[in-house]
Amino acid sequence: MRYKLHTGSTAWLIHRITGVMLALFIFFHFYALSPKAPVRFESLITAMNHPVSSVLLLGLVISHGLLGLRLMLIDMGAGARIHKPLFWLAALSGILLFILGSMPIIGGLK
Amino acid sequence: MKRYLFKIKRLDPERKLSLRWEEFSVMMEQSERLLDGLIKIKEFIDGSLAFRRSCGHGICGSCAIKINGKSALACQTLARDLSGTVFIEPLPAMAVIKDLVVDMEPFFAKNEAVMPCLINDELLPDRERLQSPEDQHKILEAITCIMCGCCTSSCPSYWADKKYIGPAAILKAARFVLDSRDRAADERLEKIADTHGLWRCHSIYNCVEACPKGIDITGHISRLKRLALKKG
Repeated sequence: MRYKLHTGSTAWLIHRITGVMLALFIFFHFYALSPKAPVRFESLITAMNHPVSSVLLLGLVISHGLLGLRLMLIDMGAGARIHKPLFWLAALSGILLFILGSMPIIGGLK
Repeated sequence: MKRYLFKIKRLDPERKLSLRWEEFSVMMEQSERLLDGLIKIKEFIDGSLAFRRSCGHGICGSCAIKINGKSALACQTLARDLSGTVFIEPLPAMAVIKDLVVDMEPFFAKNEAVMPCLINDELLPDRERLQSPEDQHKILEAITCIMCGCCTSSCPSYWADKKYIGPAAILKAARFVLDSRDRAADERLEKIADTHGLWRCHSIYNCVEACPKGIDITGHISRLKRLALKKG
C-alpha cells in the first residue's frame, strides 16, 4: 500500500531499517567470534576491518543513534512539537560526523 | 474554471465490480473543494459513485478519504491546492463497503473501549462542576477531535496490527485523563496500556500530518506514556 512519506515517517523508517541491520550485525558478530563458527579468524578480521564495512557500520550507528536521541527527546516531551527541526538537526550532524569519522578510515587506505 | 482529472479507486461488491481505477473529468472553480468535485461527478456523470459527506465544512468528519496518497477530508481540500490530476481512494487499512465508503465500526469500537464519558462519582454540585480556564486549556486540543478517522487510518502501527487501539482512541482517553473533572484516569490508563495499546505508538507522526484539525496527537500520546509510567 502506498502512502505519502513525511518527515516523521521517514525518520521512523530509517531508524527501523538501521536498527534491524545493526541487530543482524551484532548477532553475526558474536556468532562469528564464537568457537562454534566455521570461519577462519584471520579472514573474518580482514573482512571486518575493510574500509567499506567499517564505513557502512559507522553510517548505521550514527543514523540510528542520532535518530534515537530525537526519539528520546520526543518521549520526554521536550521534542514533541519540534520533531521536524530535530530530524534535520540529526541529519546534518549525522552527515558531519559521518564525514569526520570516515576520513581516518579511508585515510588508512594507503 | 479549471479542468481536473479525478482518478478514483472504485469497488462495488453488490454488482460484482472488482477493484479498479476510473477516471472522471471535472470542471471546478479554484475556490471549490474536492468534495464539490465528487458531488458533481455523482450528480452529472455517474450516480453510482459512493462516498460519505454531511456538513461539508470540516466538523462532522464524514468525508475522510485518501487524497493523493494521504488521509484527508474531501471538504477541506481546496481545488486551488490541487494539480490537474487527483488520486482518490478510500481510507487506507479500512474494509471497503463500496467505492469510498469504508466500515468505520472497528474505529468507533476502539473509541468506546476507552470509556469516552466523564466519570465522577463525587457529590453533584448545585450547578455545574467548575473548571478553571487553565484546566480547560489542558484539554482544548483533545476536545477538537471530530472522529474522522484520518489519524488511525494513516498509522503504520495500525496497518501492521488491526487490534492496535489507534491514535484517535488514545487521544480520546487523553481528553478525559487530562480533564480536571474526571476521576477514572488510572482505570483508563490501565485499559490502554496493554499489548495493543499505548506502547505500540512509535511516534511516526503520520497521525499529526493527517489530522484536519491540526491536533498534536503524538504529543498527547507521549504525555499519556509518561503518566502511565509514573503510575507504574
